[in-house]
This record gives sequence, structure tokens and C-alpha cells, in this order.
Amino acid sequence: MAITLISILALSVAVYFISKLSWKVGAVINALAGAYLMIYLFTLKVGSSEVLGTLFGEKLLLTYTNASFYFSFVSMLVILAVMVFAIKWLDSQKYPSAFNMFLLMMTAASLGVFFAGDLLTLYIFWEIAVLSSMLIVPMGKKEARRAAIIYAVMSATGTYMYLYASFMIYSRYGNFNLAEVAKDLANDPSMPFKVTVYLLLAAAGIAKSGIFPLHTWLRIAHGNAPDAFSAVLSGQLVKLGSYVLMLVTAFFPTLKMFQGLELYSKIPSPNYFLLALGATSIIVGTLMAIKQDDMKMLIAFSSVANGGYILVGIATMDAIGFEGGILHVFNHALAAAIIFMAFASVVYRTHTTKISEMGGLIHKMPITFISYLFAIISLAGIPPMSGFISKWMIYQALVRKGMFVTAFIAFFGSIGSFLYVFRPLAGVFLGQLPKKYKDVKEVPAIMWIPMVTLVAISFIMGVWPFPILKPIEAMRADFAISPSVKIADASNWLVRGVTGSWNPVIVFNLFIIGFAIAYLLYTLFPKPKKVDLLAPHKEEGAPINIYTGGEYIYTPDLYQYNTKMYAGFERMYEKHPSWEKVLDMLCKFFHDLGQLVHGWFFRPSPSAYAFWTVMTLLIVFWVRW
Amino acid sequence: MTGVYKAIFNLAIAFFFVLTLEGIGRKITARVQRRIGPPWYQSFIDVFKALSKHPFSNGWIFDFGVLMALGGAIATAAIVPMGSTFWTPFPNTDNFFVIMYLFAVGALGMAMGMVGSGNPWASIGVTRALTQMLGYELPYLIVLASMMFYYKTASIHLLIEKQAGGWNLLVMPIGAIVAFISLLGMLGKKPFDIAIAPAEIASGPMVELSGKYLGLLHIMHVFSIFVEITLFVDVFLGGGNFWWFLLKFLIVWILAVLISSVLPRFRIEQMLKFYWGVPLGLAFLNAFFVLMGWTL
Amino acid sequence: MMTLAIAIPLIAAFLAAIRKSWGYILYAIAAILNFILSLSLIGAVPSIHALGGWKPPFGINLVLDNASFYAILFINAIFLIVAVFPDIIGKYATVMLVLMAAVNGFVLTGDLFNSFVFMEIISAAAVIIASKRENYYSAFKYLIFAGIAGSLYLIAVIFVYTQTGSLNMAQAAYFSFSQKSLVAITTLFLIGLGVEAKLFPLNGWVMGVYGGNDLAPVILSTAVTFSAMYMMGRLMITIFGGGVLQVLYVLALITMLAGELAALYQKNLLKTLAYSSIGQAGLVLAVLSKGKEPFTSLAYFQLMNEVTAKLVLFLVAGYLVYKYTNLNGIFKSHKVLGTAFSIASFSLVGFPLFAGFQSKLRIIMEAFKGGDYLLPALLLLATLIELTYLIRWNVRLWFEDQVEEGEKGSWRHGFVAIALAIFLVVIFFFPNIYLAPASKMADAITSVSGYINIVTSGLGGM
Repeated sequence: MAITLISILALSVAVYFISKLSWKVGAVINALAGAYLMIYLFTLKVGSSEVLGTLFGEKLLLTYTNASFYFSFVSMLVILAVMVFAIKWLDSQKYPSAFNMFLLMMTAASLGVFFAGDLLTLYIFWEIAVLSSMLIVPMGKKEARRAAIIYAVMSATGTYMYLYASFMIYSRYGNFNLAEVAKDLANDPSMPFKVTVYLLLAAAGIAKSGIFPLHTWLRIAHGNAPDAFSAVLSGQLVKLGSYVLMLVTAFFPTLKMFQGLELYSKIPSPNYFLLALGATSIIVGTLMAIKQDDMKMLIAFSSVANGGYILVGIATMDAIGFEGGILHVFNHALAAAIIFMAFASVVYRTHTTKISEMGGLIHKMPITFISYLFAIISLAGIPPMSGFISKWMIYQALVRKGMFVTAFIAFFGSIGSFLYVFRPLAGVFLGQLPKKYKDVKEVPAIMWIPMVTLVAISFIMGVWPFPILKPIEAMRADFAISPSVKIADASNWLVRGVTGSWNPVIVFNLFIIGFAIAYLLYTLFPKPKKVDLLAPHKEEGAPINIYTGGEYIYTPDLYQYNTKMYAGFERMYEKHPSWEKVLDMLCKFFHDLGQLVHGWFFRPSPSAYAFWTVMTLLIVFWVRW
Repeated sequence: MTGVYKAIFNLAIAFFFVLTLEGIGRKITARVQRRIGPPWYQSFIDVFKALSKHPFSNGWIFDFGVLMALGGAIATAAIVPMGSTFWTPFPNTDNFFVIMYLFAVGALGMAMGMVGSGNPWASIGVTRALTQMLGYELPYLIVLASMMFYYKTASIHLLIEKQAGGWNLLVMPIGAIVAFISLLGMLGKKPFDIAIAPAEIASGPMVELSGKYLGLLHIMHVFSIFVEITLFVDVFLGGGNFWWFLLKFLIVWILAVLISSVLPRFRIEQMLKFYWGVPLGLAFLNAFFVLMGWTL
Repeated sequence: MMTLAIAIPLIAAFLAAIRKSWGYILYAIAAILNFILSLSLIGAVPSIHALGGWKPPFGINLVLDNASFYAILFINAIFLIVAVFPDIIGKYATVMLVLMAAVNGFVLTGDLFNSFVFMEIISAAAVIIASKRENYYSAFKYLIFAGIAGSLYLIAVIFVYTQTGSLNMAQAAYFSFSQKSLVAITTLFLIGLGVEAKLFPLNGWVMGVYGGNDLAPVILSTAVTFSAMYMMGRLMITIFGGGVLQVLYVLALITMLAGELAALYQKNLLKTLAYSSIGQAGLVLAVLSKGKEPFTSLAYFQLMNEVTAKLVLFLVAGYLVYKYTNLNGIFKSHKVLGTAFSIASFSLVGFPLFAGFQSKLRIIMEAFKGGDYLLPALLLLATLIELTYLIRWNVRLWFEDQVEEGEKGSWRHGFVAIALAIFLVVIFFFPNIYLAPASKMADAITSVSGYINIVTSGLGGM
């Protein structure tokens, strides 16, 4: 493992210089490296362990667990798709060489995070991943420069809390090793210490996966990053956060650690605190996503909400909730990656991300549209796509535990997701095509193949989810999360919950039959006459076969309904308090503090200097005498 | 294999029974409004007439949306148990959430196809329908969640079985009331016909439908009504044999029609405020009672 | 032999004063000679040199132990690196030579009054250097500060003299002061050295001086800071152990936060970096003020990393600031300089793969081991602020739309900057390059008896 990771890191630097000669070759090398890593994951043996090196007299450990496999697999799926996508897409970018280098570097670092067997190794790879991804972000739109800074700062806020907690652990147990730390924590008598460490470690995950108080970077970073990279950001990078959250909540035996702190339904209050944060993210993410006009920001907020689902699922500390949360990692990774790649394709052709500036692209970019459609079906949690399974599991856990408020929020997020995914669907792909996009074409095959592949995987996992549930079940067995029911019952084709089961194959077959019947009915009756949505713009203002609502339309593209789609609902919370403003105020506070320091101590005249010198002298004497 | 026959039977009942009920509903509304109204078989005539006409199509997504809507509705209708374990086509798959989300496929298909027509009225109607969903689903889901918590199952036929001791209408009456109010929203009956609102947005999603598209969507609508009311009957009005089921179905339908025939329409935010006010509060109250074990 | 380290640059300075045009050449020769000399001194460690044959504690003596050896090695290496840039040195070669002599003397001397004299020379030279590019007002402010500091330092020396009857450092280290006089002396020394060491609130001059031209930050923030930090350790730990270390700790923490906050507010690149060096100095002083191993070695390790990174940053920034008026996206035309700048700033923040990671994480770890939970917390907070503005500058310099047409860069800057940047990466993988000297320095500094022994017994040397 160590050699592979280090050589990939080294390769990434080489890729930069290769890309300088020809970025296409660099991109292909990237994709090959990605494919190699993907295969490599399957050759590794679960449970194997390796020493990466020594730092501060501590061994840096790489351990390959079921969780490592699962998260790395999901990551590589997304990254590999984007790498293939980038082979063509990069020609619209200004910095292809640097993009190639940092993407590969980030890939190796992310895998390092998942392989890490101790807190320090995790931190090192984490920082490399943050750094390399942070350097890709500003290659995007103009606003992306600010985004990169916000991303770096928020990420660092979480990371430094994590680091602080890691060293707290180290100074107490003399160990960074995750497995050892988990054991020590379980036997530690000091509750304040455990709670502090738990929350501080979780902070890194919270910042990274965009959970409520540190979620604001997602909007600006995902919204403005280079388009294809948003797929990695949302599909893969935020999953690093989910991984850390899983480590601290499930891998560390929190139920045992926080015995006596049970708040409700056998969930300890620290876990409940995280769960509440997750629930808050669902609300914030959903409400904000509904009102976005920028399609990338919309899905960025949806990532906030889905990060919340993952956290809620994991923090329930229930077998099915945990599996649901973990499976949601896979589902959201795929859905978000497909959606962002579809958007990248749209931007590749139209050069805008504003929903209100688009429409009717379906007839120009049908494959992109289909990919987007299937992805949102998965994202909204509608069968037969895989997204439904994880949401179903999370609901099962919430209902079984009687957590009605959280369940309410989860339902709200789910139905809210119908609202927000529909917005780009209607505004970008359906409706009238603006005249300026009349020559838009479908993206080249090398760009849509990865999208379609991911769609196919997500679809197959929705119909036959047992292969992906297998490593998750293994993870649950590793972490010994009760009750130990068999959730994936492949022999009976059943996904079992505590309160019932369902058969994805039957559901899928019903679909097929339903469609078949519908199609039969459709063909039975008279053939329709095709009318165009929009005339080919041969003659300005001439009504050529444009017939809508019983009227001839002369300016069809003005009839596109894509602004303020949910005005009635949006009005209800338009005066909402803004967390971004609160954080801005915090920034302003530090800035003003800097100004204060500057103005009082650093700017004044020499006489003031003399004054301060004497003051210091007096103060020191006063303190010490 | 019996499951498949039962599923087909489900579909047949859904089609004939609900279309009849629609006719009856129109008749009742007319009588409430001191009109004579159309005959009870009027809906059959409407459907077959529409199906036989030459329609216009606005492109492949329009066709595909209609197919998806109808297909989704058929799949959902085939899965719902009809009032007893015997009339449960797929006992392993009648999970409430599965039905609820399967149902969304039809809605999504319709929304997509209709917006694909390029008519702004359709888009407005669809966004209204989605917003309305946000209103009525939440109280409904909370009530159902508390019920699933109470009975420790989300399987509809098990819920029916568990009501052998007493209908849920009586065990948790608050929940039943909330669910019925939500049902009105689901059915899109007045005062919740915001999405269609013929006078405002020219029937919203349906504005571009003609000929067989209208007919197919009418069938889809019929299946939807079937699923919605059947779920309510199953979950709140206990089990019994098949005829009992039909009777309960009829009563719920008539009640809904009666209420809708005397009420005007809400505006969209009024609807949201309404659902997120009293019904949602009651739903949580119900959940609280269930948690405390204070059921009748 | 160690006297040569002072004598060579001094002689060169006289020659340069006579023949102005030879200035740079003389500087370069002196820098090379001095560096070779300090390398060759490795065989002479530990030893002392009694000037004029007056044995300590009576005469002035130079002390070469591990601490001063590595300090002058490091300092002379910096002077050597600066010698690559004739355009930066310009007509300040004479002053630079005087500075070189003074700094070497300041580090090597074992006599308190002598160290005061060298500090005054350093201040005088530094003020002249600070006035480059007509930065007179800032230089004047610096002069005032240095003057006050010098007089306080002198008073402290007089205090010591009245107590011990000697100006010899070893004698002072051997002498057991009463607690009250120890506090008085160390306080005065703290303030006196605090100006050069950039201790809050005595660091008001830094922004103006470092931000005013391209020469001052390159040499003052590196070599002079290093010598001040060395002397801080020597005086506060070796000679007057105990004293006001806790006060220093508090002040240093305030320095760290104040510097970083002011840097966050600052809009000018050089001034931002100036404040950043205040923040870093605060960190080093805070760690140093722990007064014992392994903190002392970590303090010097951190100082070496910081100085190396700052050298790169100030070289690049000083070069670009006076070449262009608008720096937006300028690295697109200066990729090598940009890469070096980014690596140096990442090292400063403490990202893994760069040197700063090694020292910062070690500091946190040792602080925790010592039961100090405050230092790591404030260190991480300061690092967070530091990261904010450094990333902000990196993003601006790399990615903003370029306003000015880029010109061909200077290969000297590119070469030196990238070499140092690569060195920072090398240090991450082989931290012992810096850590081993740092811990040897620290051993020498924390060992009071060792120092006294060297002075009293090792009377050889030349």
C-alpha cells in the first residue's frame, strides 16, 4: 500500500510535466492510474497492515479494512469517471496540467486517508488531499478564488480541532493507532475527556462533509470550482468527512464510551448532538437548495442535505440506520458525480450555470439529460434507483427508534429534494430552447460514457443491491453494531428492515410491467401528430408549427418558466437568518481585531513606541515583583 | 405466481371501481350544487373518447413522461394490499415507504412530460403540485411513522392484521383525522386543487394534453386515487373481506367529494401554512401520545 | 580563529568604505570566507578565545560552543545566500559587512557589555539598511525603538556588573542572584532584546522596516532575528535561568496572535509577511520560554524552518513588489518564483510534505506531553489565521486575472528561491538536517554548567 500511494504521489508531479507537453497524455495517464488503483483495491487483502514510515518516533500505519475498501471503492468510482470525463473536458480549461497533477495527488491522498491506521497518518493524507483539492478550486469561475480561501479556512478549522484532539489522545494514551485508541477510549473513566475528544475529532468530518455550522463552503466551492471537479468535490471529497464521522461514531465504541449519557432512544447525547447537526443540515441544505438559481450551487446545497442524511444514519447507532447512512455515501457519491458531470457537460456547451438562462436542452443533449434524470431519481430516493434503498433504511431506523422529529426532518428533506432536483430538470433541460443555444450539440462520447456508466451502476445497485451491501454488512460486523439482523438477504432477494422488508427485484419487475402496459396502451391508440416546441429559427417571428395552449407563439423562448419556480414557498422563508452572514461577521471580527492591533501597536509614532516600551517594563515588573 | 394474478386483479378493480366512483363523485358534487350532473358512467365515456382521438405530441420526452407516469402508477397500484392479507399481491414488498416512493415515480413522470410540453402553465402547475406535496406529505408521514413505531412494522398487510383488535381510526383518532386531511391534499380535491386550478392556470399540467395522452393520464389519475384511498383504508379502517374494503373505500371517497364540493381553493402559501399548522401539530401530538403509550 | 569571523567582514567593510565600487565584491568574498570559516570552526567546538589574553572573568572572551557554532553557521549561510543578489545589496555592501561582523560578534561574545556594543552596531547597521528606498520614517521609528532597547539593555548590564563585579556571562551564570535582582535584570534584558526579537508590544517597527524595502526583510528577518533569538535563549535560559520566562511566555503568545491578526488585516504583501514574521517570532519565543528540553530544540528547529521559509517569501515578494505595481496573477509569468513562494508559505502554515509540519506538530506534541493545553490551542488558532492570509495571497498571486504584463524574471531569484523551497521539502523527509543542529544548540543552551565549564576550563583556542 505504502509504495503504491507514494509512487502515485510522485507520479502526480511527473504528470504535471508530461501535461506541460501534452495535457491529453497527462489526462490519459491519470485515467490509467485511476483504473490501476481501482483494480488494486480488489487485490488488497482486508486486514493487511503496513508501516508507511516513522514520524516523531511513532509508526505511521496503513491498515486495509472493510471500511477502507468500501470508501476507496466509492471514491475511485467517482474519480475514475471524472478522470475519463476530463480527457475531453479539459480543453475548456485554463490550467489543464495543474488540474491533472492535483487531481491525481488528491486521489492518492484520499486513498491514504481511507487506508490510514492511525490518527496521524490520517491527518497527513487529509491535509494533502485538502491542499491539492484547494488548489484546483480557484481554477474555476471568478468567484472561485474566494471559494478556495473559504474552503481552506473551514476545512482547516475542522482539521485543527481534529489535530488537537489527536494529540490529546496521544498525550493520554501514548498512541495514535486507531484500534488501540478505540480500546483505550472504551475503558477510559473520564467522561469530559471522551466527550471533548469525540466532538473535536468529529469537527474535521463536520467541516469536510458540509454539516451545518461549517457547511457554507460547499455552496461557494462546489458552485464555482471547475465544473468536472465539482463532481469530485461533492461525490468524493466530502465523503472523507463522512469517513471520519463514521470512525468517531461507529468505529470508536461510542455506545460503550458514553454509557450513562443516553439522551433518547439509547442514543448517547454526544451522538445525539451530531445527529441534531445532521438534521439541521438537512433543513438548511434543502431550504437553500430550493431557492438557488445557480444549478451547481443548488446541488451543492443538496450535498449539505445529503451529508446530513449520512450523518443522521450513522449517528443513530442502529444496525439498519448505520448501513443506510453508509450506503447513502455510495448513492450520493454516484448521484452527485453524475449530476455535476451532466452540469459540466451543459456548461461545456452553454458556458453558463444559471438555470434562468437555459432551457430545452433535452433535444440537443439527450444523453446528458437521461443521465441527469436517472441521477436525480436516485438523489430524490425514488425506486428503482439505488438512492431509495439507503433512504429507506434510514427511515426504518428513525421510525424504529421513535425519533419523530428527526424523521420529520428526513421526510422534509426527501420531499424537498423533489422540489429542488426538479428545478434544473425543468429549467435547464425541458421547456423552450433559448435562441442562443440553437447550435448546441451533445457532448462527445468520452464525456458521456463515464456518466452513463455511473448511471448503470447506480441503477443495477438499485435493482440488485446485494453486492454493495456486502462490504457494508462486513463493516457493521467489524464495528459490532447491534442488533445483528441480516439486512441484505440475497438468497430471498430481500432487503430486510427491522419493521419490514421489500424485494427490489419485484419492484423493478413491476416497473417493467407497468411500462409495458403503458406502452401497450400507448400503441393501441391513434398515433400522435408531432408538433415542435420551438421553431427552427429560420425566419424571425414566423409562427412555424408552434402551437402552445391553443395559441400561436411568436417568441417561444420567452415562455420558459425557470425563474422563481417556488416563489410561493420561497416567500415564506425569504427573511431567513443567514449563517453565512454570521460567519462573515466572525471574519469581520478577526479582521477588525487585526485592525485594532495594527492601529494601537504597530502604526503609531515613535513616542507611542516609547510609551509601550515603558508600559511593558512596568507591567512586567508589576507582575513579577 | 398468485401474486401476479392478485396484482392484475388490483389493477382491474382500480380501473373499473375508481372510474365508477369518479362518476358517482361528479354526480354527488352536482347534487350538492343543485345540478343534475352527468351519469355515473360518464368517466368511462370520457376516458374512451379521449383515447380514441388523434392527439398532438410535443416531442419524445412528452411521450416518455406520460408512459413513465402511467407505468409508475400501474406499478404502485399493483402492489397495494386491498384490505386484507389475502388480497396482498406481494407480502414481502408491501412496505409503506416502498409504496410511497414508488408513487413518486408516476408523479415525476407526469411532471417531466408535462413540463416537456414547453407550456409555462404546465410548469407552474407542476411546481405547485410539488410544493403541495411538501405540505400534505409531512403530517401524513409523521402519523404513519408513529403508527409504524407503535406496531413495529411498516408492512401494510401486517398493519391491517394488527387492527383486528380495533381500527386505528379508534386507536389513534387524531392520527386518522390528520391522515384524512392529508388525503384530501393527495387527491388534489378542493380546497387543495392548487396544482390544477382550471380558472387560474388552465388546468396546469394538463394544459397541453390532447387525445390519448389525456386518456392515459386520466387512467394514471385513477390508479393514483386508488392507491391513496386504499392506503388510508388499509391503515386506518382495519381489515375485513373484499366487499367491506370496497364499502370503506366508497365511504372515504364520498366524504372527500362532499368536503371538496363546498370549499373554495387555497392559495399555495395558505395551503402550506395550513398543513404545517394544525395538522402537523396534531401529527406530532399523535406521535407523542404513541410514545407515551396513550392510545385508545 | 573565531575572531576572524568578526575581523574579516570588518576589514572588508573598511576596504569597501574606501573603494565604494568594490563594495559588492568585498561583500561576496567576506561572505564566502566567513561561511567557510564557520564551517571550519566545527573542529574547535567547544572552545573560547580570550581577547588580549585576559582570562575570564576579567577580559572579553569569545565562546564557541555548540549553540554559537550552529548559530553563526546558519547566519553566515544566510549572508552567503544574500551575496547572490548584487541588485538587492546595491550600495549597502559596507553596511551589510558591518552588520555581518556585528551579528557574528553578537553571537560569539561571552561578555555582556561586549554583546551590548554589538547589539548597538547591529541596530545602527539595521537602521541604515532599513532606510533603503527612502524608507526614512520607518527607519527612524526603528532607531527610536532600538535606542530605548539599547539603553535598557545597558542598564541591565550595569545591574549585573554591580551584582557580580564582572561583565562575563559565565560569571553571571555562576553567580546566584537574589530573586528580586534576577527579575529586575531579566526584565530589562527581555525588553532590550525584545525589540530585536519582535516581542509584543515592542515590535511596532517591524511592519515599517520589513515592509519598506527589499533588503531589510531579507536580512533582518533572517540573520538578525536568528541572532536575537539565540541571544534570548542564551540570556534567559543559560545565564539568568528562571527569571521572567513566564512573562515571556504570556507576551510571546500575545505576540503570536497579535502578529497573525494584524497580518490578516494587512493588504500589502511585504507588510503581511512582516506581520507574519512577528507571529512566528511569537511562536518561537513561546516555545523558547519553556526553558527546558525538548522545547528549546524545537524552538530553534521552528526558527530555522521559519527563517528558511521567510527568506524565500521575502526574496520573492521583495522582487515582485518593486517590479510590478499590481501583483494580481503575477505568478502566471513567474512560475518558478510562484512555486517557491507557495511551497514556502505552505511550509510556514505547516502542511505535511513541508518542513513547517515537522516543527509545528512536534511543538504541539511536546506541549501536550508537558501538560500545556493552551499553547497548542493558540498555535492552531494562529496557524488558522496564518493559513487564511497566506492562501489568500497565494490564490491572488496565482489565479487572479493578470493586470500587468509579466517580464522575464531574474534567474538568481528563481534559482535560490526554488532551491530553498526544495530544501524545505527535503527537511520534511529528513528533519534531522535541522533538528540535529537545533538539539545540539538547545543542549548547549540549557546546560548552564556546561557553559561555565567551557569558559573556565577551555582556555585554549586562539
